[in-house]
Amino acid sequence: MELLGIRFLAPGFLALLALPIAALVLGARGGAVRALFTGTLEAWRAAERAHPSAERRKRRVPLALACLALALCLGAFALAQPEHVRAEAPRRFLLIVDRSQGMYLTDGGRTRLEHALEPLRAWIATQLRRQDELVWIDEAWPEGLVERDVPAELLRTPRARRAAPDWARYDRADALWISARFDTLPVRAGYSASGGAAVPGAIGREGRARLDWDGERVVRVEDAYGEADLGVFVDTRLPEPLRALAQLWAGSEGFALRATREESELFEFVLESEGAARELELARDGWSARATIGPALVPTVGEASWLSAGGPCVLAAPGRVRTSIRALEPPAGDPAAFAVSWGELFDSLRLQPVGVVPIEARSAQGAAAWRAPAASVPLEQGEARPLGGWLALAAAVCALGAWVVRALRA
Amino acid sequence: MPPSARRPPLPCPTVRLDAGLRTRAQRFAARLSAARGRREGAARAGLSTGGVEFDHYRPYRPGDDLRALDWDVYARSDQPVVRVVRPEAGERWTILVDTSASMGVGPPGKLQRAAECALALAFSGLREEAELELVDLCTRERFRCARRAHAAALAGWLEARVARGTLNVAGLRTELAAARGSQRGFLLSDLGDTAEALDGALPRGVRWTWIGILAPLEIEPGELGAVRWLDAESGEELALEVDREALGAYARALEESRERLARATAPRGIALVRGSSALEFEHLLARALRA
Repeated sequence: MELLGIRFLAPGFLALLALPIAALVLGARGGAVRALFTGTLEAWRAAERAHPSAERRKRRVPLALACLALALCLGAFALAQPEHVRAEAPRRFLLIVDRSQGMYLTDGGRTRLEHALEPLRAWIATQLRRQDELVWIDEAWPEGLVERDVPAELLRTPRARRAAPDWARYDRADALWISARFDTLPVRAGYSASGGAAVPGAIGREGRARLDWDGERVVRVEDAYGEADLGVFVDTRLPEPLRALAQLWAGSEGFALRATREESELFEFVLESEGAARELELARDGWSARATIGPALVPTVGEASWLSAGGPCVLAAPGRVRTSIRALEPPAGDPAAFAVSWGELFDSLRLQPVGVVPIEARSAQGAAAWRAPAASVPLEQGEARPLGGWLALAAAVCALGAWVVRALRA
Repeated sequence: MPPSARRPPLPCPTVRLDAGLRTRAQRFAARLSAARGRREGAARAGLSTGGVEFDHYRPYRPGDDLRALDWDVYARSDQPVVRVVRPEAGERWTILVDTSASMGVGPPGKLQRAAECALALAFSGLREEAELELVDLCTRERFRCARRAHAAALAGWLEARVARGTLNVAGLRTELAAARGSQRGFLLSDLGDTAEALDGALPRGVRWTWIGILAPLEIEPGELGAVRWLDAESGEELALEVDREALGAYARALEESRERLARATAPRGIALVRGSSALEFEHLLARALRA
């Protein structure tokens, strides 16, 4: 039990505070003004004149009783084993944000993410202390971003498709999940679900046709996309088998090949050509081939290794493939295995044109929900100083004072 | 401070003289008479007024006052005898009983103790065959008796006294003067303002004994804390904290009052005794009659 920076290790003893309260109540009753008859007031008037201190007084509780009550109070507090806890111990909270495309759909003029952040902002304003830390967890900040306010980057729609956070990893008391809806609520973590109504719109692409969902049905809109919407980039420096395969795949998907890299591309296949080359055998999905590759690639945010030989040589991320394969001999084995293997990789990474959001995300997300983080991780161990000894000493002094007052008055 | 609306009743306004008390009063009077008998030949202490007459002779016992020895008889019979005397017939005693409201303070009640004293004094007077007059100083009611047969009526009259009203100084002065012709006079009161009543001349020939009775609460109140003092007679109130300092000042004021009264009574030959109503009447009277 903690109260005003004081933690009680045995708070049950605080019930003893009823004793001094009862003593004071009884004392006040006992000390009430009594009406007494006397034969004449003359002597008392003389006493009043001689000693103004004998005039009526406000105090109703005898001093000895007040001292005793104070001693009992202090004794009860001492038995409760109080400790002074440094109130300034900073705390840290982890904020896990769902940045999938559905979070950026607008509902009532604001995105679902904005809606989900609203209770969080109120919580920050009222509950977060100056010394506390908020750590934002996102692909963009693998180590976490420490910022007291919502990072502006979060509010911008990510170009690439984002995988859902690893919620289970962050089901802890100091974490807060932020999404539109949770199929399974966290056990320990807090959460903020924006909820929200369905947002009809584009849910897919087939060639140049767009698939729209009107809330009930899916409608195909032919020639909805032009070349400008469907650009892809295939690095011309790629070895022949890979370049040809990627270009064939892009053509089959209806993409438009671009000669230079642009931000709006739905897919890019790039060669990292720097560093010393080496020759070795590559193999995956039933194909193998001799290759000349550069140094091992270093994954960046969101990238995963797809092919490795003495280190990653193909890194994949939504909308992007990077490779260090500078030359590739014709693959051995089934030629189809080579094409299927790479084709599936490209299929899994291609992005959708702007505005295309999966129908699951466009559908209604239910009601908003909020639960604040239950606890925090103290960044420093708060210093605790036991106070019981001092309180016991004070109680003893007060008890002695009560005894002295009573003895003097006796 | 004006009197408040909620005023408690006086704690001890009435008198009760049960059979046990009457017996005690009779016994006290008998013991007093016997003690006087043992001091025959000497000037009678206590109740002696000086006006005595011969009763009988008895043999001399060692310790008897030689002045009481009848030398004529001794010369004639060669037997040492002493003269036993008794008060002169027709002696009159006046017993004034203060029944003002202040006598209702207690416990034990001051009026109760005053009535007990009056009863014992009256029984003693009857034993001495004195004519008694008891006076209620507030109602001015009187009760006269001269025979032991009146003892029951005497007790009844005392039991009918109730502490109420105020003691009028002029009335007290009148009653003191009215005791003219009495050989003994007793005043049973808390002696509040009685010094003022002595301004006028007291009748000559009356041997006065004033017995002041105060309640224990008036003599040693103790540290009572916050108290609303109620003047039993005037109804006035005074609220104050009765602590050590107040008690000291009160005791000094009380002592000054006592000394003032002593200075007023001593020159007039008044035997003055003050005691607590917590004392038994025998103790009070013994002190008073020794004074």
